[in-house]
Amino acid sequence: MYFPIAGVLINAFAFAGIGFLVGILGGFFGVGGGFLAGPLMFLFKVPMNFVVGTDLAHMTGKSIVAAKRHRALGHVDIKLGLTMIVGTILGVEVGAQVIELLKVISAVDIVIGSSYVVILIIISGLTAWESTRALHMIRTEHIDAKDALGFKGVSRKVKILNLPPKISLPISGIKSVSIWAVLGVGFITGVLSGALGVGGGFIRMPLLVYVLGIPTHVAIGTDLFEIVISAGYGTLSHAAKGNVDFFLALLMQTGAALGAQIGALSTRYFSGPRIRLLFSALPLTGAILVTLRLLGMGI
Amino acid sequence: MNSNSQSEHLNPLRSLARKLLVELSIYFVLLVICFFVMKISLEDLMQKLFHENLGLYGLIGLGLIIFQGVVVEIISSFLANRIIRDRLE
Repeated sequence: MYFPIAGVLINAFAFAGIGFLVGILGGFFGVGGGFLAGPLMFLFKVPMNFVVGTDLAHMTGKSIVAAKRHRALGHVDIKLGLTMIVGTILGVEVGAQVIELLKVISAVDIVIGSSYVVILIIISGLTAWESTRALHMIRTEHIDAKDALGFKGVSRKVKILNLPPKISLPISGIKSVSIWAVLGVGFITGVLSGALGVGGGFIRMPLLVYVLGIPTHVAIGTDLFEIVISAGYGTLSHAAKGNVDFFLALLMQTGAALGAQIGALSTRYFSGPRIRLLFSALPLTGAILVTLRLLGMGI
Repeated sequence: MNSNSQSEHLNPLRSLARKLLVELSIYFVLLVICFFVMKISLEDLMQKLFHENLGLYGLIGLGLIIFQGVVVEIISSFLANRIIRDRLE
């Protein structure tokens, strides 16, 4: 099938199939899936400028579908999402400034690439270690899977942080938390997102769970809600620069929307620690892809 | 648990799974139809906008993305409920 805006001839079934795979990951883990969709789109000979913009466009649609389904399951904390987005926007701006500074010393690729790999490996290792510990706690201490967290130190300290103003997050089961902690999580995600050029789902989901103590299912739903806003904004921005082929995005979304529904519904049958254990493989995959690219062996 | 209570327990699960399967199948068919209808009917207009007005192109494109994801889901949910209700009646 020919797409005149991007100027590419695409196998429509395979392209929608990529969307389906990325959609399942998005709905299940609350990530945009750009780490996988981007390189795969490039393999289909989609021009590089269209890869980023078109990926963001399909991510917006897919995340709306998945967030809507998660909301029906009671997994989206809109108050948390809207508060956090303020910190995220500020963070993205700071991250973008970091890139400008690195451009001056001509060290963007190596600094950003290696930082990204290190961060992803830390997230993957921490999540795998914590979730294995939580699953062990469920087996040995017979605690409810909802409350099982193998690493509570940071979230406990954040919850008792006495820094006004404080807000309550009833959907997340948090009676009171400093607004600065919520903004801080958004800010950190934003900085990394702005500097590394990624959606941030990889980083936001674990931070929500480990720093704010948000239940895994709510962290996934709220993360998707954030992706809708950030990817939607990114889509409009890239479209204004002529970097989006919406028909390519719609084709990808044909598979992704179905996958996102299946992924979101599947979370009902997995406990929080089990989702986190499966999630730990994602950042590692991302780290391998980036390492290959840095070594000139990938895309 | 005897076989009666077991089947009572399984029936709601089975009907839920059937409803989901019907809904997702309808959803997928509608997504495909929606994609082809949009591509055939709007491609020329979008191509023209891409060259003449990128801002409007972005807004309409995002609208199409949201339409395909959300409105199609609402329609498929409605159709799935109707099909299942008609079968029960």
